[in-house]
Amino acid sequence: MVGTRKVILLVTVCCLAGIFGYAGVIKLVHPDSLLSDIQGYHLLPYRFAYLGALFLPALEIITASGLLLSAFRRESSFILSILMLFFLVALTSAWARGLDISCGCFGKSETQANYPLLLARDLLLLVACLFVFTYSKRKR
Amino acid sequence: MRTLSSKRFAPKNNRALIMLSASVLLAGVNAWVNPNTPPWSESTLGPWEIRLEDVLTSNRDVLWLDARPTSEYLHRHIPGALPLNEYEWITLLSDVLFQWQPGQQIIVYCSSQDCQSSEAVAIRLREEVGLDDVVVLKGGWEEWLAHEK
Repeated sequence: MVGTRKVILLVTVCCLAGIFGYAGVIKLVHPDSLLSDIQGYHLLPYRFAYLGALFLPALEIITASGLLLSAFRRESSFILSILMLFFLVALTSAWARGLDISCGCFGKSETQANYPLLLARDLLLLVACLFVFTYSKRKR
Repeated sequence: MRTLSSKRFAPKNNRALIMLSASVLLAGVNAWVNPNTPPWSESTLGPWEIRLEDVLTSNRDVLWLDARPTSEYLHRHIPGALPLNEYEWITLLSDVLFQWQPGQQIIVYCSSQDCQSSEAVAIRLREEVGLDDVVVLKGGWEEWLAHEK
């Protein structure tokens, strides 16, 4: 049972690292496009959206890399869980206000939002991050 | 049996701080070297943006592209503009490439400053089609309407 959980944990870590690493790189290359996507949510003033457009992809890349290192895995999954919670709140808010947005999750490759699908996807990612956080060994 | 205590729930070490600091550093370097970094001031033009007054006062030959849904284009559009949106990309692109003349600057617009369609279309034209001189109209269709009043 412990061995099976270890395998599932490793597979989950690799999948999460790949997803967030890819998403981060795509958005790192086009911060102008990400800024437009963030502004589409009508949640943040321009300057905050600007800082978010620069910081968010970098954070995704660093935490994705951290997932692959056992010493940083728990902290990486913790940060990513917080990030996913934030995304879920932002998406839910946009849906409630009837906004027609581009998610911005994977840069320009995503077209208009299918809210139920996006929420389900982000919820799945949140669960995966929490799973990694819970079952990663705490390093002293 | 595992339980969640406050000490396990919020790890108190420097690793999270190291990662956040590394993220800030990476973001800073990217902002410095990336040509696609948007301007700090909202009123400043982005690297691939153009103001309507600059277009109207220049003598350059331009091709207008409307990135809004086709229904909106058919309702009303900038005179001479061609439709090109991501929903009907393949269908509409061939007509755009047939009409475009070498040396023409392509200006893409969508509904307003907040919409992302024009930026997406411009990026695809630059990266997938290989056209260099493609810009986005700052303010979009709303800016054109304001000019017409």
